[in-house]
Amino acid sequence: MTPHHHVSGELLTAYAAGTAPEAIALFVASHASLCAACRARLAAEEAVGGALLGAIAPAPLNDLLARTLARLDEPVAPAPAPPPRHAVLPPPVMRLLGGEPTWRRVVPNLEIAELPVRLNGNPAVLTRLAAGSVVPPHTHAGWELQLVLSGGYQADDGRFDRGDAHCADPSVSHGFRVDADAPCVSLLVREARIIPKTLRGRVFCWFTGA
Amino acid sequence: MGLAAPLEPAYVDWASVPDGDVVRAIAEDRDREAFAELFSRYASRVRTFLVAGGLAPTLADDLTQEILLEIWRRAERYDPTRASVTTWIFTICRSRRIDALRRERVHLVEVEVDPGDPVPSHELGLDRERSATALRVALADLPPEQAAVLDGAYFAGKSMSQIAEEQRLPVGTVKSRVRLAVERLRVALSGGAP
Ligand SMILES: [Zn+2]
Repeated sequence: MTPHHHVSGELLTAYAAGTAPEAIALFVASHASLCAACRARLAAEEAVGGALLGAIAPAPLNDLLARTLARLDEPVAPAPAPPPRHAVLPPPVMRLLGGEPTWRRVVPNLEIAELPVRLNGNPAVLTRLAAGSVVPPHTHAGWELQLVLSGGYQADDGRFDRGDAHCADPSVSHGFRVDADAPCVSLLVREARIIPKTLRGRVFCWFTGA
Repeated sequence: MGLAAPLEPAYVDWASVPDGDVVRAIAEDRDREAFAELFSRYASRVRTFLVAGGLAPTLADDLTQEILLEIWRRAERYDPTRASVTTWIFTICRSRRIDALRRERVHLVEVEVDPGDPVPSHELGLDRERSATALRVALADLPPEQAAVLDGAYFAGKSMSQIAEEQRLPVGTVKSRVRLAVERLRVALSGGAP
């Protein structure tokens, strides 16, 4: 299935130029693993980097060639094996985890699994919300990036299914309701804690440590 | 034995061979002359790229060597249907620069697709080397203020807010210049189709 919600050009450029923090690179790579359109956009952004590299005028380099030629026969470590395949988690997440995530239940309808990358001290996490869960409206002190990996939900700003990237900047206030028939697993990368809009949301945040 | 057949391999004027064929000779024949040719085309560019990104000259020398060795070792993994040789080398430089510059344990998470995921049909027929040439032409034509922000992002490895601070511009202006530049180059890349 083709995703309907994509990552922004700004995030793609940061990834292509190599300036994205690792958690954001993980998010972009995970979406791109599930989205052929964004793989093509990324290829174009990387081609820009290639063109810039190609535009540099070559210059002589004293003895570097001789030193490099002398090392061509050095033994080479084998390339790392591809990560194990997973029905839900995309290859970049599996590369990081190596196996099944360790889920921890934080409230009755929410489990999370921390990933070994952080953004401003906030770990990137996998979240698993029970079918029918409601996430109360909230805003963010920074970016919040959510990639749906299984199940789906209806938010104020659209419908989100597997592969869809839900990117909220600090100006966006949103809440959402998970489909009644299946739990929803997402990759969640946040710059800052979320700011609840209601008492119910405050209780939710207090419980979940969000 | 009578007259020995000449042992010299066929003479190849590597300087006139396109990038893609040079890489193929490295991958398939482990041809050292082909490697020396690719080295002469790219090593100093790689080094300039690394120094622009803030690496000390001696570190840049070491890393240039590592990157060129990686090209030698990974040549058979180069896929001409996915990127031009220059773009492929750029992505290797990018990963190595991230490894070298960041103090935290950070690496570029690579896009990986489960095997068997089909390549979209409109991507199959693309001539990456030809579009790379079109892109270089478009790049030379960019307005200087757009070229400057691209340089900051891709070469100096700076975030949009760092570029904004240095060039004393609002972040929004830097972002829109990058978008305009990338959009213009993307059009050139796809053969002029918007
Ligand atoms: Zn996409």
